[in-house]
Parts: sequence; structure tokens; C-alpha cells
Amino acid sequence: MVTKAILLLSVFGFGSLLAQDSRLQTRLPADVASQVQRLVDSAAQSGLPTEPLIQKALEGQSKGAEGTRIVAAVRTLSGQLGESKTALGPSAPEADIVAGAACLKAGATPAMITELRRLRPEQSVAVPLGVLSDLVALGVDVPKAWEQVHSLAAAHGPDTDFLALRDRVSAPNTRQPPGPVQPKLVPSGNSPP
Amino acid sequence: MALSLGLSEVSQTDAVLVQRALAGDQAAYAELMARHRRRLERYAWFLLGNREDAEEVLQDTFLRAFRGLDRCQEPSRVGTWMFRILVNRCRSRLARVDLIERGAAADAAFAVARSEGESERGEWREEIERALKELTPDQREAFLLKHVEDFSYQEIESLTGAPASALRMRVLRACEGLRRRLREGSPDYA
Amino acid sequence: MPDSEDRIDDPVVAAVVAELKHGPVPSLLVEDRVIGALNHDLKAHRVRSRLQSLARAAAIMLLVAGSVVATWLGSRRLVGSPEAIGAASQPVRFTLEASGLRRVAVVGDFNNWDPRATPMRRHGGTWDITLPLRPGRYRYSFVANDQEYLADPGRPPAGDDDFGTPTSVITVVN
Repeated sequence: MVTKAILLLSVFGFGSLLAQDSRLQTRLPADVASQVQRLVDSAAQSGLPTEPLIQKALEGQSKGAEGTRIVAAVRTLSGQLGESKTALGPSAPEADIVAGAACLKAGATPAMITELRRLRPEQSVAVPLGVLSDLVALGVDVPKAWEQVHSLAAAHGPDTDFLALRDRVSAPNTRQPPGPVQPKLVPSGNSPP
Repeated sequence: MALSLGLSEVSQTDAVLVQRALAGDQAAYAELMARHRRRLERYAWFLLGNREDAEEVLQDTFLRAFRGLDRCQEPSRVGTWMFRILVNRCRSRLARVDLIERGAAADAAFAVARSEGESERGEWREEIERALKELTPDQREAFLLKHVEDFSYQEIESLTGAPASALRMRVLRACEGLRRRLREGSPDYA
Repeated sequence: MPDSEDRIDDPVVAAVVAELKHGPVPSLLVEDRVIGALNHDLKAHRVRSRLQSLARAAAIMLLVAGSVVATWLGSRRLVGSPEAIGAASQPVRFTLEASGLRRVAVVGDFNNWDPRATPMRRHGGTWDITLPLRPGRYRYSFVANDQEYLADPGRPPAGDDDFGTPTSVITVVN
């Protein structure tokens, strides 16, 4: 195992793990790619997950956003990832950090994230945090959403209970108004796996 | 850009990418994957018949190729070296799972989405894919390597370990099977 | 080096070969997962290597001082992640019922938001695709006719996407 580690380390070195991400190079204008790459490298050096930052940039490119807007979105997300990691603690897995960032974006507080971590010291909190974000996105106000998620966490509910809570709330809300153009949208009725 | 280069220049570039990847240049390995992915995914797609298996095999191939890159003795032919790994991974996959039994989900995933203007071509394509699935795995493997990927019988011997005589027979049987299944469905059939 | 047996005399087989060689093949965009897997390997090994280096340095210092260091580093626990490399993919179906569309694709965190990567199939008035996704949380949208971004009416909205377009979210669990 040590030999393998040495081999891998000698291959990549202790320097930047990501070098230059080829997706950013090929999809974004050069100046935007380099700004985003700097944010990605900085996040990596802080021990933050970097893939969400890259995906955010690619999402912006896909949706035709201007470079400044893409960079701003990546920078904001990077800050939220940092706050999330601070709230969760240094050994938090990447999925939890990413879910925590989404919660902060939705209006949750770092204290809520820390509390969920405290209630679930042995398990990932990615699903409860994700459900908290989902409830807010479905129109539940933050205190009410927090109350429901906190109750389940305090009762040591499994991940499936949190998802079921979200499904109960979302069932009457999945019918969305028609899109901005001709497509006629009908709820598919599919539930998540 | 690569199309304008002569074969030796493309080979040279592959060798340089391999050396850079071994030295820790992640972008170089990403470039190698991008350069050779199309041919590898085509083979995996038509041999295995569904996206999930093809993706898993292709991903496994790229991971194994990287981890064993220092054992690639001809860096200028790294594409063929990756193909050898892919052929073996596909064989392992076929041995583990009876793909014909996967059912409707696999059939749905196997068919290529068609645009409105190509409905006739799309039907012909679906006929081909169905006919391919009716070949034995050995026949399908030999046919794809010989006529779609343009390997010589000597190269296919090296890739699969099967003797050239057996490979020729498998290709012959594959052609007979495709001919029999598709003769009436061909767009050129009069 | 091509053999002399390369020539295909039968027109049907020749047509098959032409279609397989030059016809469309869905893109299997696995490079990012490969790089991710290699980086994950490297990060895991780097964490362990650092811990081992620290442990060795501490042991040497304390041995010099005449005492033994407890390997607390070995007891450090890494909380499991639902996105652990090697966690099995699961088939996830995306469906959109919509008429009057020429083309629909799904884009999201699982395919680099690339509208060319994952075109959906049409069955009458329903578009669908099934993708293997590892456990995790993915934001995504449908793209209609290569220009309009649509949320998935069958799944929760993702909230503000920073770009003003509708986005949905799916959580895949083990």
C-alpha cells in the first residue's frame, strides 16, 4: 500500500492534483477558464471538493451565461463550500460538504448544519441536508423545514425517512406551470428511485 | 487537427502523451482518453449491447490502462494497447452476465435515438443492432474487430488469444448470420 | 496491416459495416469519472501517506525522548460518503411528457451539462432515458430543441441555479 502511494505520489506529485481541468479549457473562453481554474485550485488547497465548482462552471457555459456570471457563481459556491466545511468539521466527507453548501444557499444557517452533524456523528448528513434544501425549494419556509428535518434527525431516522418526508411535501407541488414556450408539460408522475 | 497529421506524427504525439502522463500530467492522460475513446466506445457499445455495461467496461479499461501505463511497451501504439485491455474487459463482462436476458430496459438503452428526418435510417440501424445481438459473442467480437475496427487476423489473434483459423470461421459465420437476418431489411434490397 | 481477406463482397454486410463504422454512437463520457477515481485514489493515499509520515516523525521524536507515541492517527475515522468510489451505479429513469418537440436531452452534474451527451428517446408523446448514477445528489434540467431549459415536473425543483433557468434535483441513495 505504501509502495502504491509512493508510485501515485511520484506520478502526480504533491502539487496541484487537478493541473488544468481539460473540461474548463475546452468549454470556456480562456480568460474565464483561467479564473475558474484559480478558484478550483484555491478550493483544492483548502481541502474543499472541486467537482461541484467545475460542474457549476459547465452548467453556466451550457446555459449561455456570461463569463462574469459564471465566475461569480463559482466564487459564491466556493465560499459556501468553505462555510459548510467549517460547520461540519475537518473530517466531513465531500458529499456532506456539498449538501451543506446547498443548504446555506437555500437560507439555512451554519448552526443548523453543525446541529445535524452533532445528531448524526456516525453517519453522513448529506441526505438530511439535501432534504432541507429541497423543502425550502418546494416553498416551505426555512424554520418550518428545519423543524421537520431536525425532528427526524433527533429521532435517528434513516435516510429513507428524510426522502419520504420530502416526497410527501413535494407530491402536490410537482405540477409546474407550462414552460416559457410551446412545450406542453404534463407531470410524469415518476418518483425518485 | 490530428487528421492532418501523418501516421508517424500521430504516433509520435501518442508516445509523447504517454510519457507526459507517466510524469504526472493529468491533462495528457485526459487527452489520450479523448483521442481513443470514440473507437473504444464504438466497440464496447456494439459488442455489449447496452449503455450501462459499455460505460462500466470503458471506465474500467481507462482506469486499468492508466494504472498499467508504465507497462505499455509501445507508447506510440497505446490505442491498440488500450484496445487489448478493452477486449479482455468485455469478455469478462460477457462471461458474467447473459446480456440477452437483460430484457426491455437493455433493449431501450441499446437503440440509438433517432431524429424525425432519419426514421428510415433509424429503422435500418435498429435492425442491424438486433441482428448483431443474435450472433454469438465470439462471432460478434470477431466481426467487429475484423470489419469495423479493421484489425488484421494476426492482430486479433494477439488481442483475443484465439487462433486465426477460428477467427476466420467466426467472421464467416457472423457475415452469414447478418446476411440471413438482414437481407430483406436492407435499404438497398431490391 | 490489412489482410487480403478484408474485402466484403456481400452488399448487405458491406452496408452493415458502413453503418457501424460511420453511423452515430452515443457518447460514453467516462473520462471525468476516471479522473475523479484516480484523484480519489491519490487523495486517499495522500491522506494515509501524510498520516504515516506524521506518525513516523512523532515516533522518532518520542523514541529520542525515550517514550512511545500512541498511533492515534490510525484510529482516525473517515466518515463514509455516499459517493464512495466503487459504490454501485443504479439505473435512474428520466421522463418528460411533452408534445411538439423535435429533440430533448437531459443535462446535469452527471454529464457535464453537455446537451450532446444524453439525447432522450421519444415514444409517442413521452421522452425518456435511463442512466446509471452512483449514489449522490445531482442537479439537472431537460433541454428542449437545443435551446429551452425545462425543469422536471416529476421531481423536486433545485432552487435558484444562479443562471435564471429551471433546474431539478435528484438524490440517489444506496
